[in-house]
Amino acid sequence: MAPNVVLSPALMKSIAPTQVLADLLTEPHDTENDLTFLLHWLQPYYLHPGEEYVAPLARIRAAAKQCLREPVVQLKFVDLLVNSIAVEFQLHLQQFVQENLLLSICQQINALTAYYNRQAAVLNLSKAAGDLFQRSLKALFIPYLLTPKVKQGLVHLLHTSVGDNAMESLQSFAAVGMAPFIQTVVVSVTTERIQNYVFTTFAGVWDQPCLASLQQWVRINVYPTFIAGVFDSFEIQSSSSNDLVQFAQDKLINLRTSEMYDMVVACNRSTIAFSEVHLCLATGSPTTRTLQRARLVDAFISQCNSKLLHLGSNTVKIIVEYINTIKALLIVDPTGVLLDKVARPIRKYLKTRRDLVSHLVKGMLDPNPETNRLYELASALRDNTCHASTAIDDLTDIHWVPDPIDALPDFKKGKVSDFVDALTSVLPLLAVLIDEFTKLFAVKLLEASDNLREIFEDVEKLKLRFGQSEFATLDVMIRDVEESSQLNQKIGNPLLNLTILSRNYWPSVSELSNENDTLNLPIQEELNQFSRSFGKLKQGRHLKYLPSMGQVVVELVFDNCSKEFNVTPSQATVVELFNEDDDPLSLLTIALSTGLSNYATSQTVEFWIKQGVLEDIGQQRYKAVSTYTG
Amino acid sequence: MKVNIKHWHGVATWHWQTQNDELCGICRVPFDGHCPSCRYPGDTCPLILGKGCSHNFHLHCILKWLEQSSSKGLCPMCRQIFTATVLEGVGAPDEIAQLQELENSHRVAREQAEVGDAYELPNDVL
Repeated sequence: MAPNVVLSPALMKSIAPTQVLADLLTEPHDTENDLTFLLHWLQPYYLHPGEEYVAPLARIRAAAKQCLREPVVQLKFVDLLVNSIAVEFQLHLQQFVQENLLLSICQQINALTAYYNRQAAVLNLSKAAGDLFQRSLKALFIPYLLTPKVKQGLVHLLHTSVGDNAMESLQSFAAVGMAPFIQTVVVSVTTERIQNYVFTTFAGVWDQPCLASLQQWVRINVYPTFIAGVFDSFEIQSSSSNDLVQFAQDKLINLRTSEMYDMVVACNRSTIAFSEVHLCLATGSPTTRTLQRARLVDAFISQCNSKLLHLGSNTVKIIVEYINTIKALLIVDPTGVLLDKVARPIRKYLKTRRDLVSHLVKGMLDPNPETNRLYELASALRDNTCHASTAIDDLTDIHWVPDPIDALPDFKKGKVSDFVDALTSVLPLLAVLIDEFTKLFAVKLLEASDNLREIFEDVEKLKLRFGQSEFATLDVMIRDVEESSQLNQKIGNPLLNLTILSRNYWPSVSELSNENDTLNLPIQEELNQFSRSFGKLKQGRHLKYLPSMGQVVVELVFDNCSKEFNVTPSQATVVELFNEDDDPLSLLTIALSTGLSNYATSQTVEFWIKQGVLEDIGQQRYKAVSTYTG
Repeated sequence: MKVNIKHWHGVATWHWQTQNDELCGICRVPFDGHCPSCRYPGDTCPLILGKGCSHNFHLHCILKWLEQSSSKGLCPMCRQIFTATVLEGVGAPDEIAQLQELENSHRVAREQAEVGDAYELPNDVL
């Protein structure tokens, strides 16, 4: 079997060799022939650098006129001439392009084109033949110039110089039909330049305006080269510099999209960057805008997922970032649609955090930025600017506008923008939050008997925010505390103050009051007296003392000094046993005489040993120290 | 060592002194809570102890009950005639007065009915 025939230019050429002008002279002619003159003059078909064009004699002009009278002959002649030149190009130009720099290539191109054009002028070609010659000549150049080396040279040229040199080179390339090629190169170079510039200059620069300087840079540094490279006069319009600026802005948005999460983390110092993103998004064309917004949302969500919403970050951090996200994305998109979209994964994740409620509650109550990372919640609560939750559209509102066009179906206006609301709405029920508040206030109210004013103010703020009726339990608690202090004044016992609670309204107290723990208190007498006074003042009611709660101030007088301790009632009761008694007491004795359980007794004794008041003398016996050393 | 107790801040809960139940028979809220129309327990929503029977109610609950003529002034739990034990200082004076007025009006109504019954009974029998 014969091997497959592979079609190649070489093979085809061997069958049908390119015909050149020299083929016209295969037969011996008279040397004085017109054609011989002409052909002789047309040589060389390739002009090496440094060689000169030889001006034709009148004889040759006449010969050309004589030979190329017929139009058909002219066309054929041009074909042959171009073929001859092609042969020479293959021999010389290819190598020349390989070996020389872009600038000399340009010069050579210019020289060659000038040379051939002058020859063509002598040939006195008709218009059709002239056009054919020009086209074919350009076509001859292009394959040799469409090389990676030339492209690289062009890219280099465009990157480095903006001067006339570059312009000239570009012109000469364009003159031999390279304009489309140069355009692509110029466009890709410009793109790359802008991209590099944006990514190196503006990455991480969030606290100063970038947009203006970017625009200026594009107009001054990029646009002139760009316009020089894009020769096609049809496309040059006044708006093209705006198009470039637009492109640069798109790149800036791409950059910002990629660093969105970090910007949100540094929210307070990237306000300017956010407003610029907003500006860029607002001025872009509608299609790219939609795309960019979608990309921004997707990128931010995936950044959040990888950097924030995992087990490694604690709840407070997530809350802080959520607040930052709200602030940031409201600058980027004041309608809140983007925020609504990016907030959803964060909210969904926050829902899984059990300690969210307690952090929120603590955050809302402490306005001190040093102790509270969520102080912004507290200040938002304190600002309390027009909190109007409009869950349903008011149909009579004359300024009503429909939801933004790209909003999700369950988008709620204003719901996302207020971050106290945004965070509390993560919780399945408001009651969860209220319960947590009640618990916290229960502790606060019992501990702080002095600065109740502050607590009341906090409660008022919460009421304004979450509704008056939600805090009924808290109201009762506050009234209990207030009434107790009045009652204490009335009874006027200097030693004993009682906070009298409505037991059903205090979380954690209602269980305690059912317990029947008895403690043999050292102030039992005062307590009984207090109870009697209470019974008189409040007919039909009696008191039940809760020994496990409250605080006692005891002063311990040692031989060398006296010291005050702020302790629990059981601790006070235990230490009272050692009053003016230097004999050691055993654990059992202490437990029996106080009424505490064994475990509670040993805990309490442990406490006093740590304070340096009691000392362990072995066999579970303890004794008060006589001199206090701290 | 000498121990001086300088100040003792204790915590206590208050309770109505009642015999047996824990819940108001009318509103089913604990006595130490408040009736559905009040916001605060205690002084403003006091407990009224029955004198004739051992049933206790929130003042506002029993007032609402006695305001209905169909109650006939009876305890809603045991259907005995309801009379309140009025403790001094418990409940707002006007509400206590209203309670006593209601009790009285029911008593009058009962007495009139008894007189009427006594008068009309022979006719019924005949």
